[in-house]
Amino acid sequence: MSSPSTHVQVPAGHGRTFEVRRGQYVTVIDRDGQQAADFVAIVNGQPGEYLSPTHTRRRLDSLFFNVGDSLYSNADEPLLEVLHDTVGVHDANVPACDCTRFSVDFGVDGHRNCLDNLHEGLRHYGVLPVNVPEPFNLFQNGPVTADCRMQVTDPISRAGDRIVFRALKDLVCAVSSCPQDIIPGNGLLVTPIDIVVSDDQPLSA
Amino acid sequence: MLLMKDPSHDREPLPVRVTHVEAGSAGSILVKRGQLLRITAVEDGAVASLFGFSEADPSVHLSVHHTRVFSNAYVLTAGMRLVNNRRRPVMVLGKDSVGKHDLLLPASTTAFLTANGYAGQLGCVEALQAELQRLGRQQPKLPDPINLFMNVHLDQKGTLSAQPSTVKAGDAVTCRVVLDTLFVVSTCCTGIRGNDRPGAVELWVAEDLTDFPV
Repeated sequence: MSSPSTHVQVPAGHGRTFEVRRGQYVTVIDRDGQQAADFVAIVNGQPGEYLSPTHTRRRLDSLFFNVGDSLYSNADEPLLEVLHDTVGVHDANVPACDCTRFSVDFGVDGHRNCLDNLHEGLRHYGVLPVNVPEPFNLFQNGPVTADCRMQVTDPISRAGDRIVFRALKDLVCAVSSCPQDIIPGNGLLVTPIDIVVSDDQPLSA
Repeated sequence: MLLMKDPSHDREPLPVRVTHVEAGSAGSILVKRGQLLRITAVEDGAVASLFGFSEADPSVHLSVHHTRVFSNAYVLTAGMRLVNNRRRPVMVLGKDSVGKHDLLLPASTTAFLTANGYAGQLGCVEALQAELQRLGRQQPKLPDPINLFMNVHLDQKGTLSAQPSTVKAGDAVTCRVVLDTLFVVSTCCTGIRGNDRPGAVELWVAEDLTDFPV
């Protein structure tokens, strides 16, 4: 008999924060396709230790991760193991969009943004806006060009694509369905992200 | 000094200053809007892990991550703006005798160095913390560094490969600073192969290029 699982539905352009216990599985699903999901995590009860793309890069000698890799904290501890991935293309380079992404770069004030979406729930854990960790941008597509520049382009993910992690510590995770609707990144159509937290390993993984 | 249309709105010129940062430590220098910041390697192979903190707002700092995306670039090249976490330019890389810098890797910690064969060496993070404490400065966030003079190659598959440092004593970068900023530079062991022999650097600030000693 399987244990119950928790479903977290992240509305298009919004954020949700949820707890995951060590040993649980986190499945992040791009419900409709071509939607970036900014993902951050802190160690529950220890907000000074957080998931870090920068430290993960040093561990993996790569901008990108694969199934079988772990994602690391700023204390070089593995926090999440990548168990299953139907896309294989994610970004760990671009900071979360914030109000200045829209006001400075596009002349739009008051736009929804990932930093606010992530902070909305993390503030209840004592996290200041400046301390929202750098995100892993799941499903976001940030290829390297021949001259080491970033290509700004849409995800290759399709409806139902997913990535499954196993938590290696007790975590507080926050996910934002990226509200970027001006440049390539979400196919110019912002859509929801679904999350399942389960005690049992998902069948797909 | 910046060439302003109305010089009466400008501040008085400030004298040239230098901070010597011994190998394996951290030092700092305050730079005002319009001044030039020069960071010079005093010893071969030096790496200068650079941090910058706004003088106006403790929640604003030089951001390596926003710097990359601001220019859609994974590597730092002359002419690029180095920006803060509010996407505002802090300075521009104006002169660069090296051409190899890293925008992707973290600062070392003493624990990381101990676990990776560099026991007994101080980490960049601890050196930064000590320098901020010496200055009596509270910063809510210790950001990731801009690793000046660190030679790490990136290929199109996203693979990072550390290369031997090419930095020689006298190599330097010079930046025009446009926001009042406290810069902290760590010369501690980075724990990155080929770039792991700490060397001393100097931090210079001057109003104009001709003010620097040759």
